[in-house]
Amino acid sequence: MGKQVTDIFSGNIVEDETRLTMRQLCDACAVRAEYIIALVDEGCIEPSGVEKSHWCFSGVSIHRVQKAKRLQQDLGLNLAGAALAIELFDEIERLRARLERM
Amino acid sequence: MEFKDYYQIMGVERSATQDEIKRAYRKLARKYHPDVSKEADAEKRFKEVGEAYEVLKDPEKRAAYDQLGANWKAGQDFNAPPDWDAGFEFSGGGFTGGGTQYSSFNEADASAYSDFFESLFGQGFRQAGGRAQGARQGGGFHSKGSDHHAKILIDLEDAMNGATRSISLRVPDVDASGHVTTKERVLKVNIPKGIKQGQHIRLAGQGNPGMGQGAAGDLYLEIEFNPHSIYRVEGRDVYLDLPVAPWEAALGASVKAPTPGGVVDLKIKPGSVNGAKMRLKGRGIPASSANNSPGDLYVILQVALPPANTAEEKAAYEKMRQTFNFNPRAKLGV
Repeated sequence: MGKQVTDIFSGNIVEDETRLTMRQLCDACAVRAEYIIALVDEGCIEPSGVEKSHWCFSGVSIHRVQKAKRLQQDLGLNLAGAALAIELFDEIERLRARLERM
Repeated sequence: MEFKDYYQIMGVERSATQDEIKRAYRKLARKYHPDVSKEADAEKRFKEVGEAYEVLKDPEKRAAYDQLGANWKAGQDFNAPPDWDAGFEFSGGGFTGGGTQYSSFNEADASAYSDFFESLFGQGFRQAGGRAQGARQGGGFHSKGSDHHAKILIDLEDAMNGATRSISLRVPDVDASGHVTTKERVLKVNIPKGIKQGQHIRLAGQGNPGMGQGAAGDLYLEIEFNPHSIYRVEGRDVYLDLPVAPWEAALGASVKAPTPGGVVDLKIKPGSVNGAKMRLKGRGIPASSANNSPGDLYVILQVALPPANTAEEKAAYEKMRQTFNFNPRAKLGV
């Protein structure tokens, strides 16, 4: 097994990104704009800006889109089912964090 | 290499019908899907189940696998008998057709299949032009490489001050002859100051290589905090239980308290009760960017009872008993 040591990498904190364009979001998730629009219609991700051409997304959208895509491909969920699952995951995450604090 | 008992992995009898196998797969896929399960080995289990289903759902492959016999035990040392697959033809339906359940965690990642699987069905896989191999050889096909996801454990102090951490990733590597091996790749990564539990660092272009002229995928590192001996963390807020003596709580005092940023002097108000919460604004995890604000430190007072060991200490408690008209169980009605 080969070993390879590389330089120090610096990345961005995904959740801190606030102004992703439709193009950037599509690239990051390897999906088409139609899929993003469908998830917005489903209420699963929320863009800022009224005009579709000026939509901006937060970094959290990257995870939600990727998760929706994985859930659809791997478990055969439809879009509404994937959106519901993601909301329930969020709720579990919140409860788990609260439990840890106690 | 180790023998894999696909029936055991799926939790079904060798005599299970295709419907039973499908149901078992659906159930296990939901259970071990890495987005659903928090178990550390969820991804491994998910892939294992996917591999088992890849074989058992396809009557041709299942028949070939069954032919190996029922005497093999999981984990037993295994070598495929010569010509073991004579008379079976893997025309590839299972791989090129509806094999979608595999895609998001395994795309372009043929090493996700075990050596056992490869030794049995690898040849058929390649001939059938499975996604990974076919695409690499194909002329005009370009696609972005898949993203790589990994977890990275850090300490609260790393988020307070920023840090550099090494992580080791196992990445698939295809050699000149088309064999897939796993290579270890060590990366040093800057942990940005102010990062929170559950957030992700994205290293663009550090995922799996693309096909053709497609760009490489991205590497996502999910941040997880090691449990701390004295602090609890929620978001950027930090919680500390601070023990105080009964007289400090009752009479007020100035006491020393640890914070992630160093020791501070803390004023306890007279008449403080057990569980009282004090907020030290901005003393939690610092902001990570101009768009967010630093967390707070919450100090929760825990009144600690001094033991009564010596005669003098006992006398002091006795004095308290005579002085106070105190029923701690008044609220219980007794």
